[in-house]
Amino acid sequence: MMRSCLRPTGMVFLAALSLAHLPATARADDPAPTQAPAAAQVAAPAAVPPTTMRPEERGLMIFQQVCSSCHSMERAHYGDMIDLQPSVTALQHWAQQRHAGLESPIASPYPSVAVGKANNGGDYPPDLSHIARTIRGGPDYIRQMLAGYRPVPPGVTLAPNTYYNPIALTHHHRFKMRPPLHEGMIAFPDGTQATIPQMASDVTAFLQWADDSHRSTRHFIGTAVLLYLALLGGILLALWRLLKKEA
Amino acid sequence: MNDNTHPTRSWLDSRLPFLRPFCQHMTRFPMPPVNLLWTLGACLMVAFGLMVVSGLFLSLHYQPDLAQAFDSVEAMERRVPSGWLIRSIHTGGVSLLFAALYLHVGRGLWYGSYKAPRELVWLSGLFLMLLFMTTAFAGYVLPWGQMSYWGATVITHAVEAIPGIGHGLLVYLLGEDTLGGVALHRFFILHFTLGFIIAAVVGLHILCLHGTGSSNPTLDSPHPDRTTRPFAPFYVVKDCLAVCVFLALFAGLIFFLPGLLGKLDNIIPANPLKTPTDITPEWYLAPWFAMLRAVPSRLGGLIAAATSLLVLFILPWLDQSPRHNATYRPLARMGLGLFFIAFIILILAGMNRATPLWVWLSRGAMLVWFLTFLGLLPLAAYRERQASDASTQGDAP
Amino acid sequence: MTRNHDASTAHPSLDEESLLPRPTRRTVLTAGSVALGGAGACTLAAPFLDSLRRTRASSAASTQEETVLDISVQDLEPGAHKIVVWQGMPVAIQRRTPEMIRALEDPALLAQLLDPQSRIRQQPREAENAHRSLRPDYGVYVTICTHLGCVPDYQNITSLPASGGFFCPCHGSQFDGAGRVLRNMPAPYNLPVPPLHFVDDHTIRLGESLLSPHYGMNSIQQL
Repeated sequence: MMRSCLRPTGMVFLAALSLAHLPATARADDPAPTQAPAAAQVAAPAAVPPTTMRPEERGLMIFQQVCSSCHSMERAHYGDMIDLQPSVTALQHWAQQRHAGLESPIASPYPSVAVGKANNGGDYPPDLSHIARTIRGGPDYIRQMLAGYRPVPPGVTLAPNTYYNPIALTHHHRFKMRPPLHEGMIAFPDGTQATIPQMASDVTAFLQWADDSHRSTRHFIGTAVLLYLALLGGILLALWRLLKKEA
Repeated sequence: MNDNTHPTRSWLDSRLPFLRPFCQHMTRFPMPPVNLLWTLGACLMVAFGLMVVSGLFLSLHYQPDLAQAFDSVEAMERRVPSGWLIRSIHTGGVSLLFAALYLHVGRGLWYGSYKAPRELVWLSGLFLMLLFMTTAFAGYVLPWGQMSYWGATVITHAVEAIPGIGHGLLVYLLGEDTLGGVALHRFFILHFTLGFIIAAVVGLHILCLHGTGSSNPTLDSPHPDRTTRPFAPFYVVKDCLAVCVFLALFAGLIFFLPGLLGKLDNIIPANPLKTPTDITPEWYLAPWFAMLRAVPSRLGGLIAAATSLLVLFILPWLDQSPRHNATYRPLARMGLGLFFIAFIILILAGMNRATPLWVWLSRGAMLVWFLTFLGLLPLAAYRERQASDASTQGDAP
Repeated sequence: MTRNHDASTAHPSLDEESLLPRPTRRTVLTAGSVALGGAGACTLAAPFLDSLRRTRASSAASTQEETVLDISVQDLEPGAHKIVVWQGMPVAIQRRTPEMIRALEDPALLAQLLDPQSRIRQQPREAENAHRSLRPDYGVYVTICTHLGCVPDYQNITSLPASGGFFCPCHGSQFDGAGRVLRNMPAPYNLPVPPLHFVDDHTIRLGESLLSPHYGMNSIQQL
């Protein structure tokens, strides 16, 4: 009974919302503007592989298959990835594999910091929630560092579980993270070749997205707001000058 | 227009009799020929309104709980629909609000808006500034990130410097020995409640202003202009125009330069065992933080910071010169000019690491601050009153 | 003001003529800025109203939620009942004695019921029978009162033949052992029967009806 009373008001609200929100939702909620028609995806999310993927969508695949086996992304929930992976079933499957649900944080696979350190040569794999913003050098550093592993040059000795990476900023190029990316390790559904630079750039795009998911929406709304204010300001300026003259 | 005949108007008038005189007062309110700096009040109203509304909606998603506070803020950013937008209005709005607030106070100083008969406007405005500072400080604690925690720890421990009762007062205020869940809950309620108290004081501030009217910046000039215009429509449009520019700055800041405002340390959850390398407050509280650091003794710093605000409160009685506009008062112009520079230096000092250079710069700036208000302005007032006495005596015979 | 008033009553048309025909530059600009400003203020409300919506992930998850629940009724003695929670709703499962089954068809009882034949769609087709259930010896009902959503207690209604029954503590609605509401009660409908079927003799699967696959809690008259 309550519901039936509320319905008309709710409808008005929703109508106002959808009208007012049209430009924002077009960018924010559409999983991929460059993707195959949205209708096809809604009909069969798992069956039809997308023909093109955004870099951060490929990055999510890399994160799922590679990064998340050592790193956490505590601030994000499994369900938050719905912007990059529209299939809820697939996300649920991923979460269940890690003994979690859609609304649980993407936790570290290690039961404790000590175990994490022991498994990674003494360095705990940092949380990736905001790494793109907090790490020195930012996204550029991440991209170059991930593709920066090199064979050990003569004269350099490495401790066990240490890897030579001249880009890495810690431990004088003796990096504790084992090389995460290997040529062709992932088959992207859109046919992109999984080269190391490609994957490094995709996963960086994903980490940037994870840090600041609303970047493109923000810029879009910001532009719209500024245009609106310019128009309103123009009219007000004309009115002001007119009033100044009249008085 | 002839609104007497409109049935809705007459219906309202007989039931809300004060409404028509109020509207007439607001629209016909006589305005002296004020310049664009007088639009800052309208910008502040808009900024404050945005803060209240966005804060109200954020509070629906915020959990004032040690374990959940940080995550609830992350949830606003990531999961709550449009939550990131509302939060950026709130976190970006505070900087814009304080920028407008300090410019507004600076305008009051420069044009002598604190002088008789506007002492109550000035005092209620200063009281509002204190309320805003307290609210902003309490609000900054709420996300419970590293900077929230350590900023609050450092500032609340300044209370400890009060001799005798300091520690007891600190524990009483925090509700615990250390900054924890009880204090976080208190900070939330304080932040939430102060918003509405500010709204009431804003009403008082405007009431005081409408009692005496806006000050006239041209009175001391060689060509005083005593004409007035009704507030509507000219000043309404002018205020709207200024608000438009203000909102454009606001939008530019929150939509295109969000990194300018947030501190990196505050996206790391509070860790009572690890102090971040640089604890600095947000820029709008930086001047007083710089003062706390510049004075070697903790109590001295506290007294200096408190006195710096106190001198502003007694300013109407320190400077009783008949002249208002500092543009035409050479000594006051120099003093206030130096004070504005000192204020900016203190902001920068508070935001930077306490190197000897910044500490000495902030000491110099503090000296300027006190010299201006306790020395230069009273001196200017004394000389100007003597001069005016002489001229009236000269006129009399 | 009085003068104004007189003028307008004397020449009402003159006042209108001077205002209406050709809008001045000033009125156009004023109207434009008011309209544009108002539209902006309304649009500003959009993110705030939007924030009250549930999150995308949680609404996506709720559509995918486990809707099927298997309940073992092995532990129920004849005459006993238990309450389980299915999709956040309390569901009463009663095992009936032969007397209770017989009591459900008592004409004295049927005369007191609002909808004794279960004509209103509050149950799947296979439960539109005298005992309002798939099997006469088990009754399964969603115990949310059809009046205002309180949860009725399972208890015998003293004025009725002993069929079991439900009593809503909020406004006193009474239902018989088959969840059928009595006449002149605040509740307008019988208690709903959830979609269900028997997996085996002792297991009830809630949330799935074999004979009416499209029946669900959204297809009932009112809840």
